[in-house]
Amino acid sequence: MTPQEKIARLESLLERVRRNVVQPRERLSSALTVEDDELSEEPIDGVSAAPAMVETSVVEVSEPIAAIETDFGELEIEELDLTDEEIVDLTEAEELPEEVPVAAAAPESLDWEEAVEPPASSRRPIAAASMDEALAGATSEVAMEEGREIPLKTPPPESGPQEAPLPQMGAAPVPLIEEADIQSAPVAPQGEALLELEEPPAAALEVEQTLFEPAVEAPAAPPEPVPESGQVAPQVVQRPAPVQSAPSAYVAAARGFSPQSFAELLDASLALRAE
Amino acid sequence: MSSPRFDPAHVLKFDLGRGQVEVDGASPRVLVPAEALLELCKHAGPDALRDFGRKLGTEAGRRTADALGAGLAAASLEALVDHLGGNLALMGFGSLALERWGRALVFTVEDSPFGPLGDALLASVVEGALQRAAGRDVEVVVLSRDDASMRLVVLSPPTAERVRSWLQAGTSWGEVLSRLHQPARGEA
Repeated sequence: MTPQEKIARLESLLERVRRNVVQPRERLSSALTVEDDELSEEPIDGVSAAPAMVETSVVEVSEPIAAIETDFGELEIEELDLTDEEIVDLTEAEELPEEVPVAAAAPESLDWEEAVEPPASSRRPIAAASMDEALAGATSEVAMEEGREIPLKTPPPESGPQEAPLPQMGAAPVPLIEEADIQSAPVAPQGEALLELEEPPAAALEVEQTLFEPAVEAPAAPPEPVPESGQVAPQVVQRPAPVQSAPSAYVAAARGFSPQSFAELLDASLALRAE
Repeated sequence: MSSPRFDPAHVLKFDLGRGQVEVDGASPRVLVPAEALLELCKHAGPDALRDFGRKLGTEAGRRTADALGAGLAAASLEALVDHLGGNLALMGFGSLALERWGRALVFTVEDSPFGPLGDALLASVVEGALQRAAGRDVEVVVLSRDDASMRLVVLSPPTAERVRSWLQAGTSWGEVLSRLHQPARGEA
């Protein structure tokens, strides 16, 4: 419940109390009695003391109302003479659903200060005057941190009395942002600074249709007729028997001799032997 | 590498005043009749004739080697015939040519002034020229002879001795060349 809703609720209660004050005391008591009777007709487990709480809640609420009257004393509130039928209890109509138990709709739920969450801000630490205050402050901080997000605090410098923790060697490395990631990342629009690009010429995007024509499938060959007997015999082609004659003839040929110099021929001639 | 051609220009020098003939600045030469020389050779022994012929051929081989220089080992057949034949021509021993019968090196000499009686002398001259020019121990055997030319085969000394026996036995020079190219016993 937001503070504005709380204020609106209190204002409605204030008007209601004022009306009750103007009305005779018996009528108020009868009205409360009726409510008491209605509540007592539907006993709820664990809410046996509900009539007493209703009775006391009226008295308890009167005190903060007096404080509120001083806050709104400058405002001139016009008091209207309205009957009970004309009065619409906005608080119950807005805040109490049908399934809400009677205890939740009781005036004790007006103790809204417990439900208000503290702001998510950190206060400047104040040096404690004594050890008891320091322990009490630490306890309250722990209690506050359990219920809300802890703001980040800057670690003390290394030169201070407390050394900053060294980074762990096994820590995961910072991922490098590649150029491709930057280009592919979506770019937030820059308000009205969008540029309208001209459409590229259509001729550059022309694609020859002939290159992408789907291949025409050849007409399927008609299935071969299956013999009536149902047996299919393969066509076997065997290699003919090799010829028994010699595949080639070997003829001895004298190696040619063509000396390139006179000395070569002289040596060859001296090498001749007469057997 | 191409070998220089044989150039006989100004090789022979006739000093008529002094009555001397020089060949390429070498020792003086003597111009004698071929028949007189041949008659002398008839009366000389085979070894003396061979030594005389080698001495004449050594001079021709030296000039050939000097002309070809370091390229003698790689000299072509034409280059050697050009230079060796030119030097023999300057000496008046006929026209030298070369034949190759398979692996056999065969020289032919035409128009020799000595005739058939001077074949042994001419073989010794070629033998001396090859030994001096090529630096190998070779023997030259007269393989054939006709009216105008003779055929000389260059062999090793043992082979030359066997070939001489074959020729004395009446084997034709063609058969000798064929036998020289037959594989030896034990060879495939």
